[in-house]
Amino acid sequence: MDEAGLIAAARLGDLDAFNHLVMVYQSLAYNLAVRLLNDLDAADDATQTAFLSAFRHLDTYRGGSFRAWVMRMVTNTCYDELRRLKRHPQQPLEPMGEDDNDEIESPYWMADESQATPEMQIEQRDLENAIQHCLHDLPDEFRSVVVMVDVEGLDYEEVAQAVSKPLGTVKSRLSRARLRMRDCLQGFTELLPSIFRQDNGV
Amino acid sequence: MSSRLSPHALMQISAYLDGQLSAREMSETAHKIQTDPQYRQAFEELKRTRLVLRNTPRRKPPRNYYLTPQMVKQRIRQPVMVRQFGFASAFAAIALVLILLGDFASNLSFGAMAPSAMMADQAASESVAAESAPLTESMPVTQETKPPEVIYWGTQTAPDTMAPAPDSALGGMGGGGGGDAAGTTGAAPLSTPSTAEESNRTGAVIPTATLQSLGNFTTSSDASNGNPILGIAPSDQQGEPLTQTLSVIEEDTSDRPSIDWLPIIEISLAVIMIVSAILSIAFRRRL
Repeated sequence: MDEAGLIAAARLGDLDAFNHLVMVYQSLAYNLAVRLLNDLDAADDATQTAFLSAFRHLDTYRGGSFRAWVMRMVTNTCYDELRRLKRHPQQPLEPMGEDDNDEIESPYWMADESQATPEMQIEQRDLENAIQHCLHDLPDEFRSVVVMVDVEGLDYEEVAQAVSKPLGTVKSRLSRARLRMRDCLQGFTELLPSIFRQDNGV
Repeated sequence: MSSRLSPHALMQISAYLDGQLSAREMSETAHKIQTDPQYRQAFEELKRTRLVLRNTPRRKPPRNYYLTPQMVKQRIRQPVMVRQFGFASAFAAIALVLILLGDFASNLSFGAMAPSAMMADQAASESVAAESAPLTESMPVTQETKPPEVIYWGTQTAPDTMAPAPDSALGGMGGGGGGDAAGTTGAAPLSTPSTAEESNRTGAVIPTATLQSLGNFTTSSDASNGNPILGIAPSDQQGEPLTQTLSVIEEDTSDRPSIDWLPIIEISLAVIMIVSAILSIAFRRRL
C-alpha cells in the first residue's frame, strides 16, 4: 500500500497503517527533535508525543507533503517542550563532571552502526559537538529552519508548510541562520575534520 | 568575510546555493559571484557551512515509536481540567458581573422613586394629623364622664338622635342595610366621617388621635374588660394610644431573621471565580 493509501486507512482509524508511516518517518522525526531540543530523553518523549498527536489530528492533514506535515507536528511538540523548559528550568540532581557532560552531549554509542574507525568516530563526535553547540545558540525559529533544510534535507516548500510561514520568511531565516552558523563554526575550525578546513572558510 | 554585503544579497546567495531562485535571479547571482570577490567569498563560506551541516551525524532512534491502542485511548486529563476550571472561572465572572449590573440598575431606579414616595407619605400623615387635632381637643370631657358605647353593626332601628344612653344598645355605624339614621353614634358624630374618609382616601395610617376618638364611640356591657375582636380597649385603657397591636407586629417582624441572599450569591460567585482561576493556572503550569 502506498503512502496515500496508508494515510487514508489511518484516517479511518487503522492503527497498523499509521504505524507503517511511523516506521518511515521516525528517524527523521527523532533527529529533528534531537537537534531542536538538544536533549536525548526530551527528544525521545517529544517524538512519541508528536506521533500520537499526529494520529489524533490526522483530520487536519489537507494533503500535500505528509513528511512536512509530520515535521510540523514534531516542530510544534518541540516548541511546546522548549516553552515548558523555559518556564520551569530543570537542574540535574547531581552536578555533572566533565566526563559525564561529554557522554551526555555526545552518546556516540548510539550513533548509526557503521564500520567507522575509532579516529573517524572521534571526528564525528567533535563535529557533532560543534554543530550542536552552534545550533543551540540560534533562536528557535532559525534553528528549526536550518535543521530541516541543511540537516534533514527538506526543500523550502516543505519547510514553509512545516513552520506555517511564507516562503520568503523561510529564505530569510535560513540565510540568517547559515550566517550565524558560519560565524559560530569558525570558532571550532581546529575541531572540524580536515575536509571542512579549506581556505579561509569554516 | 562578507560583512559589506547587504542581507538581501546574502539571502540571494543562500537561495542560489539551494537553487531556489528564478531563472533570471539565478543568472544574475551567478554573474555577481564570478565577477565580485565579496560575492564569491560569501558564496564559498555559505557553501562550506551547508556542507558541514549536511554532514551532521545522524542518530539512530533508541526505539520504535509505534502507537498502541492503549496509547491512543488514553485521555489527557490535565488539559481537560484546565479547560473546565477555566470555563468555571469565566462563567462565574460573567454571572457576577451580570448580578452586579442588575443590582446597580435596581438601586438606581429605586433611588429615583424613593424621594417622591416618602414625601407623599409624609404629607398624607401630616394632613391627617392636622384634621384630627381639633377632634381630640374636643373629646376629653366625653371620655372622662361617659362610659363607652357598644356599636351594633347593621342595626336598622337606630334612633335618630345619638344621645348617649349608657344602659341601652344603640344603632351601629354603617353596616349593611342600616336605616337612614343608622351609621354613627357617639359624642362627636359629625367630625368622624371626614377623618375616616380622609384616611381611606390617602391610605395613610390612622393616627393615634383618630383611634382615640373611635374608641369613644364604643360602649359595651363588659366595657371594663374590653373586646379584643372589635378592637375595644378596656375601660382603664381607653383614651390611650393603641400601641399594643403595632408593637406586636413590630416584634413579629423583628424576631424573624431577614436573609439577603444577593450578597451571599455575589460572594460565592467571586470565590468560585478566584479559586477556579487559580486552579486553572496551577494545572496549566504543571503541563
